[in-house]
Amino acid sequence: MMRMNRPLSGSLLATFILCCTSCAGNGAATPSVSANTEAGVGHAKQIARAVSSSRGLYVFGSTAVNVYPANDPTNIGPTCYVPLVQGQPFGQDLSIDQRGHLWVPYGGVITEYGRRCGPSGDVTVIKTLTDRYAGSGGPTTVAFAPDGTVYVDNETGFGGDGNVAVYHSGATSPYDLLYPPHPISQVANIAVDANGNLYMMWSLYPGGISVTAAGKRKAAMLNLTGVSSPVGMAFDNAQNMLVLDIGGPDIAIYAPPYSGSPTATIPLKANHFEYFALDRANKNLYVAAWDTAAVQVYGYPSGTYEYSVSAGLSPNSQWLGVAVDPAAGN
Amino acid sequence: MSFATLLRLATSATTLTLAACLGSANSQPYSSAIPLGDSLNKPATGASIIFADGGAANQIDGYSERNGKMIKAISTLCPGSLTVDTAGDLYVVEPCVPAILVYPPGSTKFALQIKLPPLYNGYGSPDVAVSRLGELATSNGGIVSFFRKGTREPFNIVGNAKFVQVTGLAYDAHGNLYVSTSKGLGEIIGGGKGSAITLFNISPQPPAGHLAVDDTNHELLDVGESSGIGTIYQYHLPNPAAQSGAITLTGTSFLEGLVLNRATHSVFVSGLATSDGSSYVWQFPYPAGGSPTLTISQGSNGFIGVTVTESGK
Repeated sequence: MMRMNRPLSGSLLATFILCCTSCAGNGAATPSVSANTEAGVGHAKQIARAVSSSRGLYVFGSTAVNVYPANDPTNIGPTCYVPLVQGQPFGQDLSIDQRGHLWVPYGGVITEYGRRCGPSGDVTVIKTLTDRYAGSGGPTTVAFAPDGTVYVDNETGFGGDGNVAVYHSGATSPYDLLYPPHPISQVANIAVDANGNLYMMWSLYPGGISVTAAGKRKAAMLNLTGVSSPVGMAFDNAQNMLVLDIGGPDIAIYAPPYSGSPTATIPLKANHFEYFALDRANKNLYVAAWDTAAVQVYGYPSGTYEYSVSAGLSPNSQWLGVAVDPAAGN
Repeated sequence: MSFATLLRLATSATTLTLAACLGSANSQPYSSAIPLGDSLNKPATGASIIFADGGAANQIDGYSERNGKMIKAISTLCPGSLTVDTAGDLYVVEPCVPAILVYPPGSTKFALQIKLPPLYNGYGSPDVAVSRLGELATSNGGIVSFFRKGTREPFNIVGNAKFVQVTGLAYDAHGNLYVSTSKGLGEIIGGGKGSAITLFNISPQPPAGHLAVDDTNHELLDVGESSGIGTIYQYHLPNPAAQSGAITLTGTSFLEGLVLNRATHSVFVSGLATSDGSSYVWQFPYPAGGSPTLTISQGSNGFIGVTVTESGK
């Protein structure tokens, strides 16, 4: 769904860090929690920023992608909309790439939108990707590798088993197709880490998370405990892996090299969840409760619930995809 | 160790290290955290578990079929129809969401959530059925959606909400799906591989109740009432064009849920008691009917779904 920062010392060193258990302690994220102080004039300024630059919280509404100011606990409603350009929306996950462009999978295609978004929905469609490997539900998630490679998750691909379509940077048609390893057969979500390793996950037992090394095609299962039904993933700036587990529901946090038990767990307020996002500053988690059509905002890494965003959203419409700009790792 | 030395080490060891990481992950199977060890989840040895929408509005209760004692509770938002598959997975319809949640055997946490489209107004709670091969069917108005085992995107949708309301679903051992509708009984040959609901012209019209299939005796069971008394109507398969019998369930009325336990030659129904008007789940001998052999009070929380696992699951 999103990728983490490219390490300053390059991907080779990052690989070493990823696999070095002696370095696992470095995975602890900086203990910092955002303070939501926007109000009055400050709030108005923030809305203005959101309108002009589209930086904010993106949530799949019933007929469009709603854009909300980031870090706004007032639940004032969306400040602009990204209208959907074709077909009926089939709300899946949303993704923000390194340039702040919004990627929306729905209606069997993936659309990349430009960054500017005004109140009248004046957005620019950059390109549309076709996905001939998607099943009846269409593509569900987009993730980006550091080299620009785009991965598209087809939860139930053409023929029944899930797959991941791979696109070169800038391409509109896939050049490769990856499959999850046994025992998982469907792909609920995907994520890419700073080294370009691809992670696929499925929730139904035997569920689990697989990893496909960058540039490779063969996937292997991660040996994790403490997570039963993973559906979402993100990486923080310290290379910790955050896993949304509907079996909790909670977000389990694993330090590199991503095996064994989580180093921490953030319990979620009881709801039905499917997607979540982490901001670049690693201060807030945005967790979409699709049954009540609300995005719950938690402090990170404290896990403290702060507020919810629900204005302009309605239940029964979507899986409630969510993304935040700037996203973690961009 | 200097940073430069660390970088050289990382460079020389990168390929090997990454391979070791992946190899290690590959050598050990994924370890699930499904709480199988919870003593509440263990039925008496060999006994089936009866699942019913609970006395609390947001709870599913599990009972031992052997003695009727409650052995587990599952919190959920708004449980409706229930069913289990041959592996013991529990499927729960949540009409208020709407969704179907799948609970692995022994777990009180769901492992799969299937989002359903908005429900047609006035058509009540969707039903759910799972074939022996794991195909899932669910109703919404006059539409039946089919999902392959373990997936959550329908691969086929049959029916038309404008013409008929589907209220009950049941598979036979061959994967054919039978439906109860406001216009009578119907079947979809091949289940999800089928293309249309074929309605049978039956007089008098069968109740639009929940269904079960007795594969041994080739009977389709449809639960309803006769003169205010709970009754299971029987229709002989493969062509259920006429009623072949009826089973009276003494002391019951307004029945909703129905499930057959082939191993113990019993049926479980849910509904209201004629004595006090409260909600109950009953076990009756099948096909004899008559007086219940087990009675479980479920309070008064409206629709009561009921299902039962195979022995020991």
